[in-house]
Amino acid sequence: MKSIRGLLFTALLTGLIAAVALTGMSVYLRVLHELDVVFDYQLKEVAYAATMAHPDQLLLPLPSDSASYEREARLAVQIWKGDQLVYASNPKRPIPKQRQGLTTLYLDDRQPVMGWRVYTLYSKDKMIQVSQPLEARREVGIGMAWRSVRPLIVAAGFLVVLVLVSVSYGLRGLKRVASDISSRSATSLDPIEEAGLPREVVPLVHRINDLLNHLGHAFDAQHRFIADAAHELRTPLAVIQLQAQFLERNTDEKERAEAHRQLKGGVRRASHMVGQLLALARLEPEMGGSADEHLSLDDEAGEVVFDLKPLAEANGVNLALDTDTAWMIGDPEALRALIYNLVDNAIRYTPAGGTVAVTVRPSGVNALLQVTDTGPGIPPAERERVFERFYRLPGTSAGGSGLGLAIVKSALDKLNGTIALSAGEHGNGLKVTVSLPRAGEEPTEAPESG
Amino acid sequence: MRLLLVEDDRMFGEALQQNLRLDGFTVDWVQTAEDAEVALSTAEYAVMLLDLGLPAKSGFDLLSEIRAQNNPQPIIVITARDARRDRIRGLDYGADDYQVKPFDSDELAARIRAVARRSVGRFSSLLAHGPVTMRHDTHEVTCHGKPVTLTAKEFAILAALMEKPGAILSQASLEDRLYGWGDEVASNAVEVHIHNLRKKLGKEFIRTVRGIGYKIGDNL
Repeated sequence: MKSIRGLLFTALLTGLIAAVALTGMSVYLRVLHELDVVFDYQLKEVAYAATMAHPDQLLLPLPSDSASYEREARLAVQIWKGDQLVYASNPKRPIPKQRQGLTTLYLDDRQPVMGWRVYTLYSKDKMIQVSQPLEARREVGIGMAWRSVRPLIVAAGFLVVLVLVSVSYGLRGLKRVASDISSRSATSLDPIEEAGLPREVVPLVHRINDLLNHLGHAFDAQHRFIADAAHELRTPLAVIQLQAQFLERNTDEKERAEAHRQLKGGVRRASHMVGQLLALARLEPEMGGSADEHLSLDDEAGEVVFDLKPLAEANGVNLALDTDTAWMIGDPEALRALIYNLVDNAIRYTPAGGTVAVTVRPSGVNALLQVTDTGPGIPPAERERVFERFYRLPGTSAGGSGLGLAIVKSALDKLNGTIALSAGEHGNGLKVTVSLPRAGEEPTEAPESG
Repeated sequence: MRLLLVEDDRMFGEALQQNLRLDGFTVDWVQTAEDAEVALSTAEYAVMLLDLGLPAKSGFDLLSEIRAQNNPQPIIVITARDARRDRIRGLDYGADDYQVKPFDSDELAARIRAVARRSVGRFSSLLAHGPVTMRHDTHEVTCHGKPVTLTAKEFAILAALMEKPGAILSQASLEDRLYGWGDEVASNAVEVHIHNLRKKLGKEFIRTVRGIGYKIGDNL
């Protein structure tokens, strides 16, 4: 993983080194040019001075030899009379005679760096030649460049330390967030404190808090669901326990037969509740696993009606089916749960002799499923609440799970459908209209030619 | 002993009523808090069994209303809510006991007897007066140390009389304890039961106070 501090350190160091190098180089080049002028002038000065001096004086060390600058300049003086060298301040420097004026001289071809700058002056009977190694000029230039760069290097060091310290200081916010997260328990979804964080970190923490909030809602929903489910399962189980006990204690054969029948009803109710709870849990968005299949709404409705025909007959309810072809894309399990619960509900709440009608129609971009019954209907004020889990209409105790319409709603969410509840024909009963996005006909495989 | 059961679940109410009848209780069953208020104002119940999860008006509301009226009605809360917070809240709202679903009907019957006992200031299931002893829990009755077999109605009348020796109970008040709604009551039913009790326990044990009712004999 990349370290912000490492990255900053590298970038800063590279930048500073480049800056120091550039500064040093440009100082050096400019100084070198100026030094040429100054040193050339000095060469001439020394040469003129030598013409005026008595030859004996010249045998003495040059007055400026003691000065470090002069020493660094490493000048050497030669004096000729005619063709004879009468004086050399530095005998180890055998510079041949040059013509009048300034010359740059390379004595050794193999070492082009080892060049010389020479000033030659003819004066009456003498010829004075002052020489200086170019090396000396470079050394002075490098020295000056170094001196000008040195404070820069010190400043760069300070800068690096300063930046690293302030980055560490800035990252303390992140460290606090990290220790905040690591010290909390797995179930704690409280938001991370955003105050006092660097501006750059706030969006990240903000996103994390959004996620925590979202997770918190999901967890709450899950907890509520489990608590509700446990609560709702207690009553059917209590019924079974009491019924079983009654059966055990009662000695009257006729009453025992009735108790037996009731016990079966109690068990049926408990298993219905468990089945509905599982159906609802499977439709939870967190469960994922939604299959997008090409579905025929009319076929699915037909199958559900076929399956529920026995229940309708047992309840004395007339179950009618009227469908046109309507295709859609969605999860088959969700669609089946949707239709099943709507028709099952309608049959359960319709008194004997009533009718439950199921119709399927394509309508524009939608496929419409309508379930109409002649039952007691749902008052307009209750039409929102009936979709809540375990909500039962006051006065109804048909032993339902209270989950049918909650399942319908979850299934609709999965199928991107909408639902509308209204009164049935002549204001009686209930008309449920489900609208689902319609799809084109399923592409049938082309018959093989040949 | 006459009980009022307030429970909205039809299957549960039916099953509980059947079991409690087998235990010798007379059970009136209503499905809403509003109906329970009407029942409480028209009859006297030894114990009320109250489900908390009622539609519209909740059991908690009914409970706190009854206690707000300083009504000492013995109440056992029956509920599927088992969270400790709910149990504490139920008891603090004035319930005498708390029974979480699912439960054993024997246990509930014992709780009902205990609450009923405490409500009349008794501490034991054993009632004794003169030669007669009776146990509420086992329904055993003895006279002069010998076991006596009583029907459920006879037991109920005897228990009512023995709970307050010396008090005179009217025929109507005894009928009220014996019969729930919908029970067919013959006009002379109580007289018939008293007659049978006298045959089993001796003529002097139950005395008739002319024009008022019945009481347990004094000098036995």
